[in-house]
Amino acid sequence: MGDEPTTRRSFLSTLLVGTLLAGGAAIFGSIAAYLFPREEVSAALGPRRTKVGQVDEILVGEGKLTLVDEEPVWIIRLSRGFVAMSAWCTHKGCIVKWDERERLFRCPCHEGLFDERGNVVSGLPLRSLTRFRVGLVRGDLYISRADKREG
Amino acid sequence: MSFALASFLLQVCSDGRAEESCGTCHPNVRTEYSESAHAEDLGCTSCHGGDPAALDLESHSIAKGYIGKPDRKNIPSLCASCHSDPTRMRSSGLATDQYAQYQTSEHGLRLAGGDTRVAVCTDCHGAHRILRSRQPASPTWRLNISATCGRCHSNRDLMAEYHLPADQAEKFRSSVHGVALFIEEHPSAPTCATCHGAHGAAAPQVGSIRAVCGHCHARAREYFNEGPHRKATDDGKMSECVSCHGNHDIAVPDRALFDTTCRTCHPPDSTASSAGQKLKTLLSRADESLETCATVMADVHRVFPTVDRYRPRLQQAKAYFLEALPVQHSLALDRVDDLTRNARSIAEEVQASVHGVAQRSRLRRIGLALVWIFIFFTVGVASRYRKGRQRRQDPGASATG
Amino acid sequence: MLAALKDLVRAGERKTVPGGPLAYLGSLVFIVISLEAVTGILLMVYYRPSAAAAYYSTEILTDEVLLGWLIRSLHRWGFDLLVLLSLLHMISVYFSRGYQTPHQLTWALGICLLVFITAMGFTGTLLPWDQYGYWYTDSARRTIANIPLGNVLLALFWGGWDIGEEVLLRFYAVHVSVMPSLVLVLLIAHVSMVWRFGIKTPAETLGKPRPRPTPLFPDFLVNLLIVVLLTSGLLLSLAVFFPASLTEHADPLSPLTDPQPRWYFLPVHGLLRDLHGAAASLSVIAFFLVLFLVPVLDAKPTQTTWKKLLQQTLGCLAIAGWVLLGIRAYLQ
Repeated sequence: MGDEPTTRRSFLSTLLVGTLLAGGAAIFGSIAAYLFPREEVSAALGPRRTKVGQVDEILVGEGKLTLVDEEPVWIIRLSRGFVAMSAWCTHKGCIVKWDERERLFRCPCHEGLFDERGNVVSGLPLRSLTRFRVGLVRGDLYISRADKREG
Repeated sequence: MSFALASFLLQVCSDGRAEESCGTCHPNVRTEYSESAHAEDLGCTSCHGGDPAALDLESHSIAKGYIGKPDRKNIPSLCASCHSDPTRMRSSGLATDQYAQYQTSEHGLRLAGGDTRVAVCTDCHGAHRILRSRQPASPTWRLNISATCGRCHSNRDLMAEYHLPADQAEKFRSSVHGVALFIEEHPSAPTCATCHGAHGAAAPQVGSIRAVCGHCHARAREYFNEGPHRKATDDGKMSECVSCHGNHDIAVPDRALFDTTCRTCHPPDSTASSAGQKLKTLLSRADESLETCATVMADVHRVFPTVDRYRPRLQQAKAYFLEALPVQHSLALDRVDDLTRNARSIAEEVQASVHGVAQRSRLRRIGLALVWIFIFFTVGVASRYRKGRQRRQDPGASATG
Repeated sequence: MLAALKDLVRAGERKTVPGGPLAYLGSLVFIVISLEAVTGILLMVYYRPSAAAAYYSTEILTDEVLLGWLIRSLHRWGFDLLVLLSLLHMISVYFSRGYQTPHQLTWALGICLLVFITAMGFTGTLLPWDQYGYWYTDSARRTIANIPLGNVLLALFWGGWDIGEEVLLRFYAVHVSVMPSLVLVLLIAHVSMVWRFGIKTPAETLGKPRPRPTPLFPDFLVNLLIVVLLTSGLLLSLAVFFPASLTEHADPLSPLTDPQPRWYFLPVHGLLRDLHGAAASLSVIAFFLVLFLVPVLDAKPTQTTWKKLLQQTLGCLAIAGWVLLGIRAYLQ
């Protein structure tokens, strides 16, 4: 008479404690997952830099097209240093091409022309190309946004 | 006669302007003239001759070179007496080829043939109140050019005598260029003078149309020249850009053009027409793909705002589509296919990613169901435990404590 | 170590809690406050309190952070539930006359807690810096400006007469530091009072025999666990089916005409709209003063019928009045 209820009682209490521990573990696990750093979050959260390559890879007058957060960006080496700007033409968004010989950006869609600073030289675009910041850190070239939303 | 006049006037011009008496009897003209670009260096007598010092009719002295109101046929050469002289015009920074151009223009040729109803310098630039073209009040300010040309060219009766239409200004106003000029005030938008020339005004001939449209639409021209329509144009069977797009009433190019303009030369069931239809299909499909993707993205954005991160990729897809637009003028199906296929595949990829994000709500509900199962299980265990406790505390009481 | 634990368990088994279902209401309020505190602290990891970053960080929190939507939705729905439970708790204590001696201080602390909790909700609404939060706070600002000394209050506590980043920062400081500290202190005091003086059950008031008190451990806790589990289930369901959303980014140049306040503010909002200016705010303040004074007015447990009847009637009228005001404000 005393044995069965006792075993059942201790089984129930163990089961209860076990279930609660499992629930607690799930809660702590969720909190841990929440706190765990994610690439997308740090990308969205702060100004960050994208590595483009080494400084010796680009010669004077040459340019390289890279992706910064899915946006195509041109980095050009001029005699006075590096400049980086968005490759999206400010007219309809086609991707401009850097012409080394003429030192101009040329848009293949409606012949918009931009100079090496990104200013409109001729054609239909009205605004200059968006500028990006270039940084040289220990021989490596980095690009980051110049005036993205703060923070 | 005009040479003598010109040389006389040159002498007068170089004297500079002394205080003139003309305004005493002609005060309204004097006021008008004071706004003119000429008012700084030139006086009334520079063009009209006469005696600037005399206060009576001696001022109209023919001996002093008075010519009164110049004859229309003499006006271009009168203006050219200064405006074609590089030495004289150097300090102004203006070109000196206007008269030379004018003489080649329709207006200049007809004037030389004796027709004085055509435009001369004063008709467009004004006589006394000549403003610089960069001043918005000037009749030659780019937004006013259409109205200035229209003074004659929109006059049906006048144009009928020359067998010319009079609806060009009206057509232009509603065209894509007119909208760009008058409504958007785009600084690069063309005016009448852009295509026809200002002083050398002529209708662009068949051979010169590409030179005109292609000044701005260089890409389209480049691709057109690579296609089969180049030969057709050279053979005189079509008028390059104008055959499909029109000249004054150019509308925003619509893919419906493939259905209408191809038929003007090609029978509906020919290979050419079907190639045109294929081009239309390729472009339409890419465009629809981009539209659908954008709509889906906007919908999902309301619940999951960070689908914004897929926008640059969609922009890339759009860039491929936009590149295909000038390429289509070459009628090269393979190249258009290549570009539109890229546009479509990227757009579909973005749409799939956006859908993936939206699927998260379903995952959440599944998770919730699992949590509820856990809750019921635990509640069950706890109740059993509770009942057990109550039964033990009240062994004599009923089981349902 | 284990011995200490066993001692604790035995103490718990000895400690009793008065029986009856309404006893769980207070404990549930306590648990939901803890939930709000925990989710609030977790939100602080990703939220950034600046006018430029507040909205975007909330967006990222809702969308990019794993389970961020859950934490945020729990925080939002948890608060609604907290207010509801607090009100029910207060009503049940009122009608069971649980504020009488020696529980007067407990009641006063409870009313203070209610006010502070409401203040926390109010300050929290601005933090996402979206259109709704911004313009709702702005309409509150205009109301406060109308009461006597309103402008002084605005200058001291608001940080300005317009809504800009300074207001956001102050609201943030109040919401995460000032109010939680006050609430914590009051809560500890309130719970200590309850443990010290016990609570009065409705049965007692009605003169019925007290039901057998429940030992704290494990019976009361197990019952509480069941209640908590079911409440959590409810909260999670609300979070999944009605996740906390965001209107557009706050735009100081595009006002929202008359943003509708949350349900618990509707009666006050309606009142403030009908009685203009000082009269409205003063009447609300007067009501709270009366609430504070209830234990003073009805201190000793008596069996006098008229006093009991008056107390019950006034209570019903008050509840009916607030509910009607709320419904009316909602329909407008």
